[in-house]
Amino acid sequence: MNSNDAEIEAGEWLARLDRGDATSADFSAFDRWQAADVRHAAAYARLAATWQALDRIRAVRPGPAEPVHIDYLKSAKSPSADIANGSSTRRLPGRSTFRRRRSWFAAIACILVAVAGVWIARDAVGPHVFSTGVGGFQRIVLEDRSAIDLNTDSEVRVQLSAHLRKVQLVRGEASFEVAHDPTRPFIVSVGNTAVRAVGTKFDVLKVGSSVEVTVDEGKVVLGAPELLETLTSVPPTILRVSAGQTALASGDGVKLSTLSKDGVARKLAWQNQMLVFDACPLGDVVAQFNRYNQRQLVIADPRLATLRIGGYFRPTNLDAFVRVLQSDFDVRVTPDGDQLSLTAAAAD
Amino acid sequence: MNSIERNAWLAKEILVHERALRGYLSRFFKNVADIEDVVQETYARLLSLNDAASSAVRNWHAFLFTSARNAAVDRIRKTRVVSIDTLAEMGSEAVLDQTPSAVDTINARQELALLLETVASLPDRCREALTLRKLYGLPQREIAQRLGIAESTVEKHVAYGVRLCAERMFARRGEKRKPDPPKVAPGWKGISDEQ
Repeated sequence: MNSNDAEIEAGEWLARLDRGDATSADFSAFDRWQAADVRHAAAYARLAATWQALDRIRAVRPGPAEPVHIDYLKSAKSPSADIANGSSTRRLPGRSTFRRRRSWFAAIACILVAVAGVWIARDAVGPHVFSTGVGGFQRIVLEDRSAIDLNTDSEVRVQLSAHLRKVQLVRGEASFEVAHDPTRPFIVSVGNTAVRAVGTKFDVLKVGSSVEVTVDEGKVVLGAPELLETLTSVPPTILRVSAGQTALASGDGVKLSTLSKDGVARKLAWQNQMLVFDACPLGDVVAQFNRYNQRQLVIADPRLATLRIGGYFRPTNLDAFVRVLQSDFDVRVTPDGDQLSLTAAAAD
Repeated sequence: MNSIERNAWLAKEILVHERALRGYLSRFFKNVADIEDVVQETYARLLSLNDAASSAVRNWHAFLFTSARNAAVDRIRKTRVVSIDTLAEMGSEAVLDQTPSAVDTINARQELALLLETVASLPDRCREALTLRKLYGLPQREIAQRLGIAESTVEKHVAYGVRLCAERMFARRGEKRKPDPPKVAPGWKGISDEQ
């Protein structure tokens, strides 16, 4: 028995057991084979580890609605829409030998490019870090002429390479105006979620472990960072978020909703350093102001929860907002250390 | 450690070093079959460790190379294929005191790219069977129906495919080695078109 025979037999056993219909006689034969030579067990463990590692390719699995495509991993290019042009047309995989060969090369080329992209990104100069403090605002223009607006208490790490424009949102909120460049996808990652765009305008907000993505112009795709960075083209089954839509990605999945034009404008008003509310519950308004100020507002009276606020405010001008609350909304504001406690003025 | 955990550990801590391990062993053995045997013997030794012994290991890379050296020394003693000088060199701790090289440590993203590249590089029928099995999670029976081939043929594609994947993911070095094709049963022509 040499090691090559052990490996061949290990492959056969793995395939046999993988059929899922092994009998107890099969299992005892397998046990006897493993026990017969320590190399049998070693060869089997090596292949079993490989087989299990292959499960990870499910990360690129198309959606359940997609028909099964046996060449999915061969023609990485064909089952994809080009997000650069927003095209939704699909080429069906070729059946002729010539097209099969050609797409095989294309697939390998794509994968090699993807791998090379990763290497270049890793080897390029370390990421550039931009951050703002509480109440801060910063506009960053990148070397590719993409622009990033950084909202209060936010941090991004930017890394541009020949094949990829990568931004990591470490905390807070940032809006992106992406310069069109189909050869260099623009990927914004926040924890386990990433947004990929080629040329578009969108906003990404990190709230705890959730991520809210609002698209102003064009469209973006959502997915796991490692998936979006590895693929050179995006299969049509990946979730797209279009202009006027907002997607909330959390541990529970992604919730997609459509906003009115005014809704988008209100959400993105911070880009002009304004907060705009339209019949917004006081709780949400307070949460917004608290992002921009060290002095925190606290609602100390449950009756205020139903109060709805409308208007335009400078987020950093807390005193002006407090005056409006007192004069127009009958709210009593009591300083309490670093906090401002809000109660209903008509309480007594 | 159950078998799932054991497999994950094996892939993450051990198999990623197989290429470097083969490179190390090639200094002492000219014959590829000798290297194969020592690699397999080394894995056998690692797998025979009990949980208490395993949990005491702090550096699996160093432990792997030490085990390989011991397995190699045993083999040399038994077969007397190399000189005493070589034995002395193998005893030196210097060659073992290496942290994993950059080539050996790959991150999750690179690992996914490597897996995709490996599957994409398989011979047509093998790749199709593995795509259906691993990407779509279809059982072998259904794969046979979809591809219009016998279940036993799917089984052979799986058996050959997993060996090719292990070879390409962990063992392949500068030169290409290819596992021998499986012993072909009479009347079966599964993967012959790609050989």
